[in-house]
Amino acid sequence: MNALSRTGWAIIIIVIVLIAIGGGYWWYASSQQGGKGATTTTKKPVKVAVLFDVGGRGDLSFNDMAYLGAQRAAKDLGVEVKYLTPKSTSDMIPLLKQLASSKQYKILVLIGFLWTDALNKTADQFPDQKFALIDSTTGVTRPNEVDILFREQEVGALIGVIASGMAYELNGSTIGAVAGMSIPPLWKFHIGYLFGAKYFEMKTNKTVNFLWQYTGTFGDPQKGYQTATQLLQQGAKVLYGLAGLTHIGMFDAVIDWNEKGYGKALAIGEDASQEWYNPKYIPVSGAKRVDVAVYTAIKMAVQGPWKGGIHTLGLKEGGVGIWDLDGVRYFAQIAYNESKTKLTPDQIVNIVKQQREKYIKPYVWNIVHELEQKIKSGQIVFKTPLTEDEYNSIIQQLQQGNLNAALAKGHV
Amino acid sequence: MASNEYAVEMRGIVKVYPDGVVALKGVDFLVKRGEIHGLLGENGAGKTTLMRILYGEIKPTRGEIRVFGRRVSFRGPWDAIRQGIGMVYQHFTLVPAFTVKENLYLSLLSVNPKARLGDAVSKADKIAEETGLRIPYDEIVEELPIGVQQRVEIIKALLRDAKILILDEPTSVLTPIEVRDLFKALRKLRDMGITIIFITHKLKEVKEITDRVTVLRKGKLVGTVETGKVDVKTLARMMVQREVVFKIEKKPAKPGEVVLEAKDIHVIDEEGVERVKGISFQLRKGEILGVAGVQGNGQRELAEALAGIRRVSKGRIILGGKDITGYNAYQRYMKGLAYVPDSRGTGLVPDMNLVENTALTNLYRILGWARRIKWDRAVEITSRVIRELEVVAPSLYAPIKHLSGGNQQKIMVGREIVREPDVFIVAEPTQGLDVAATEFIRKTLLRLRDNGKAILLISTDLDEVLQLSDRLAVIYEGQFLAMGRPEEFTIEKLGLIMGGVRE
Amino acid sequence: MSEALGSWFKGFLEQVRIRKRQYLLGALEIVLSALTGFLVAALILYFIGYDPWYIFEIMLTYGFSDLGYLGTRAAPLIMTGLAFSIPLLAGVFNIGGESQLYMGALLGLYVAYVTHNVWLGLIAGFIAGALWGGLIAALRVYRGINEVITAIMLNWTAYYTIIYIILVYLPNPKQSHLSVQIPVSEMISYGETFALAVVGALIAYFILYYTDIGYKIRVSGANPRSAVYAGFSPKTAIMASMLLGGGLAGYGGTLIIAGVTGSIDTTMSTLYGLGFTGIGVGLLGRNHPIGIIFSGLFFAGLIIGGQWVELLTGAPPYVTDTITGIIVIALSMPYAYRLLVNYMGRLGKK
Repeated sequence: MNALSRTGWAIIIIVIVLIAIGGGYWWYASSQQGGKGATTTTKKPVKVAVLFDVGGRGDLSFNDMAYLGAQRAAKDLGVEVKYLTPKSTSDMIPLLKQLASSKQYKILVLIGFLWTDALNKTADQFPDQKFALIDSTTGVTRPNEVDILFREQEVGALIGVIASGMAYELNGSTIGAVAGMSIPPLWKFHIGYLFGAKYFEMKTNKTVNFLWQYTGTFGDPQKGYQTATQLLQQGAKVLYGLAGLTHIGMFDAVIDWNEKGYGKALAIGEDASQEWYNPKYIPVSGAKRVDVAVYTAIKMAVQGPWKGGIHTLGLKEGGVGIWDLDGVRYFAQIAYNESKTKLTPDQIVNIVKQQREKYIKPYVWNIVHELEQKIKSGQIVFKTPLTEDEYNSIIQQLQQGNLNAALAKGHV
Repeated sequence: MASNEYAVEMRGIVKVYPDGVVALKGVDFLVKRGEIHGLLGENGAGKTTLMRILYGEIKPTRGEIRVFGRRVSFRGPWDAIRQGIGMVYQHFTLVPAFTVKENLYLSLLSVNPKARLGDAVSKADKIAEETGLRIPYDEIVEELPIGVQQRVEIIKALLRDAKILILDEPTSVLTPIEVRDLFKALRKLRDMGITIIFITHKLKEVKEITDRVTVLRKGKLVGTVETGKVDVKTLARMMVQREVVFKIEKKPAKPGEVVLEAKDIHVIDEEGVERVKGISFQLRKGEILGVAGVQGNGQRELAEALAGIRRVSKGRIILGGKDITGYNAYQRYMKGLAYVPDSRGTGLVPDMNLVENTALTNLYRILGWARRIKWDRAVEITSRVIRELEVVAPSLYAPIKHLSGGNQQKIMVGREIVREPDVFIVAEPTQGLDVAATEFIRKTLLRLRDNGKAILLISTDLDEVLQLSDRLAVIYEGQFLAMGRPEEFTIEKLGLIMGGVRE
Repeated sequence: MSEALGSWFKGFLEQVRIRKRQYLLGALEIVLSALTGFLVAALILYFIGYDPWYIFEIMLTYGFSDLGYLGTRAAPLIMTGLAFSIPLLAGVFNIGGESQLYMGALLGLYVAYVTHNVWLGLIAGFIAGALWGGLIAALRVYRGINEVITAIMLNWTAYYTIIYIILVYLPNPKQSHLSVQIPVSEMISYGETFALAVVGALIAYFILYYTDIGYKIRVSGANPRSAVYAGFSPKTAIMASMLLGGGLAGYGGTLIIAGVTGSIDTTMSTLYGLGFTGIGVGLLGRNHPIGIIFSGLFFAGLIIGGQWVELLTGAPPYVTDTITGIIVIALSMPYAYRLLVNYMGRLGKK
């Protein structure tokens, strides 16, 4: 009985203390809020919302690039950008509905293919809300929705030329790629990469062996490591990573291959600049500029002209390309800040510069620039396969040396 | 001073537990240097409490302790270990998954953090050399026989330079050959100058191994004697002598037909030790068969085998003419058997309320369609238990742990009574209860007998079995050493048989 | 009938009267834990430079404003909470709710897709989860393998198996990152999803507190020695609790497919983590099915509200994750501590 009342007292005292603290805070907060209200009434900028993929920022890839593009839009276009990371795909539909019905945001920019289904199921209910879907398409044309895709063939082709050139510098003639799943963007990479290799053959009369391997996953570094090791054993000198997290394993395989003395090999990254991961063995990365896509979408919504449907970005629009040293430095800085690398951005840029000079000879750059020019000027345009059969037939013809099979317009 | 003479001096030790139980009522305990000193007594005599105080595990309420003449006050066993006291429990404190070597190293580390694995082995080798206690170093402890594990325990204590070794019922888990080896080693240890305190209830062993013996009874010192100067009869009398506290009115029994029969049952426990070694008996309607004995002689295993909780390794159990050996407990309860276990920790679910606890053995009576529980029926039964056994409880829905021990016991007995079974197996029904509750439970048992129920009463409380039994069996090491009418046993004879001495 | 109801109600009032002190203490404990949690969270927020009051306001208002969203978000959490709690009542640590949910979602999706009948899908989901949970239980009961280890390994087995099956056997022809879809016309509404979760919890409540097997499960968990004494087989109790718990997790997996997404995506982001969160839901719900309904809603609200914090304040998601974590830990800690002490005590006695 005695002990009980003692606990009782203890509880009462704790409650009083907590209430006192809470009350004190309440008072403090309300006094603060008065001051805050005064500053926010001056101007109301246009608001836009960028909705990340599940997982959000810190991926040093899609989401971080989206953030980069949105920040640029905020600066250049004077918009206020808000960000949101959904916890899972099941949150996407309700979030879209809540955001759209709030009518607060000029445009909702959705990053990545996971949003496709959610958007498809909500876009029609909110005709006044503009949506942009990056790197995927709902397959439906709506006046309030733009789907921004990339012409992956164009970057693939440039990388194909560079990879072939690098292979010859390593005393080999085989290039390869570790790919994720057999889905349309990867089909386009495949066509471009193979086209680039054949283009190199045509220009230099040096033969290039071409290896392409799907791993079936974008999230399994171990699988990437195994696949890459197999390709290296088959004589590949340069491997192109097209499998998200999976090709981080490919990077490791290439690093080990060199450091354990099995042979010499190089790796090429994709999407973001990935040179920072190991600048010595990853001298170059293909760019898929999600930042440009996000910026483009926001600009369309804010400044116009707005036109619903699919928009594609390629070399001409700066949507794809080869990362220059500024880009390398930018991602090296992020990686350095997040302690993902010990090298400083300067060191990374220096190593990359040296390695590029060593392995990408001027004659290769000449071919690259020539091809780039043809693409940018619209002299040649790549086909975009709509079905798997079409994709397979293009690849088959390319392998037989028919470069024009990959082109919708123009010929080489 | 006499301080040179004694290794341990405990004077005027009083221990009152927080729940008010007085375990020791001012005990003097003196152990000479380099002797083997027996500590003899029944259950609840306070042997273990006294030794736990010496080992620093619990603190005495009052009293003075000196070790080798120095006054000590231990905060915990680590203090006692530093003063050279080692203890070997009945249940070993080895890490089962470790090897012997690793266990020894672990214990050495606790006194010397800088010790190396090699030190443990070399030191243990030396001890083994001197004592003849040979142990394998690289075996996993749990794969070793119990006797060897015990040797490891002893070496473990000696590794920490124990000068005083306390052994708590060391022979209870051993085979006769292992006992012989142990005694040989103990004598060698004594010759090396190590003082040994040997807790037991086995008279034979006391005679065989000890130099002097202290007898405790109900928390009081009966006396300390030199073993050579007394015979086992005297020791037995010292251990069990008592004045009867109160007498219960008892009508003569009218035994009827046989309802429960055990035929040569054997039980092996989880550790592979045979705990019941061939017990047979017949139990008739309207009689109480008491089973007396010191705790740990197979009583629990016998009761649980009869109730169907444990499997018998050999033998048959017949209830009302039907062989129920293959039945599980639930089926046996349905067939008219009831078991009141020796521990409320087994019989009751502390966090559940009275109704849910009553349902435990009455479950088959309250099931409705699709095995739905009819709680209103359970409430009725519980109300009946409360009414008939005069249980005091705040409510039917109070967690049973909020009830007093006596009321908990009444629920345990009452929920069996209301099922109206033919046979009751009742173990330690009054353990830890006050006088009023004890008397109530005992009277209830007699009433049941008079109503023609058959009761097997297993108790370590001699008063209880002597008062209530119509026939009495004495259990020792898994066997009935004697069976007869209670009047045939003198207290002295009972003490001898309980201590394993057959005449 | 009305008489039975009346007596039940009287019993209920009696319960409340008798356990008033217990209930009061329980409520006090929750209030105190919540205050402590919010206080610690507020201090952390304050020191890393955010306005705690504003963030709590967002979490609580946005989290609990859209009831449909709240209900569907809570539905699978309630089920995985039960998947953790029911076996725990029998003394088994089921941390395999995650994979039981996966299996239920997969089979539920497949059956609903093939038969165009969501109800059959829900039944299939229950069965798949139950079998998966039963596997863990069987390994524990018949082979003595620790359920925690089995569950962890099976979680990953299920994870990769599902990705493989979706990619190879059930790919969506239109969207390569998705599995086949349940036709939109067959899907259930948000309200129905939540209602079905509540029905599941109520059935669990009935089984646990009004049937033979539920009673045996509870006795086995609360005092295994008593269960043996009463002649209940602990094996049966463990098996039954895992079948029921796993089944409910699987049912929850199907609920989220049938109610929200209609398909599983190859990154598993629809399902990932629901089972693990269920552990918190179960503890916070004090292992009681009715409590778990409320704790599921509370969790769901915090998760939903947390997403808005980023939008409205710019705080990165890990800030809100930390806050949610602290609050949840504070709320379940006293109970989890008691459970642990109980569990360790039992281990020690053996």
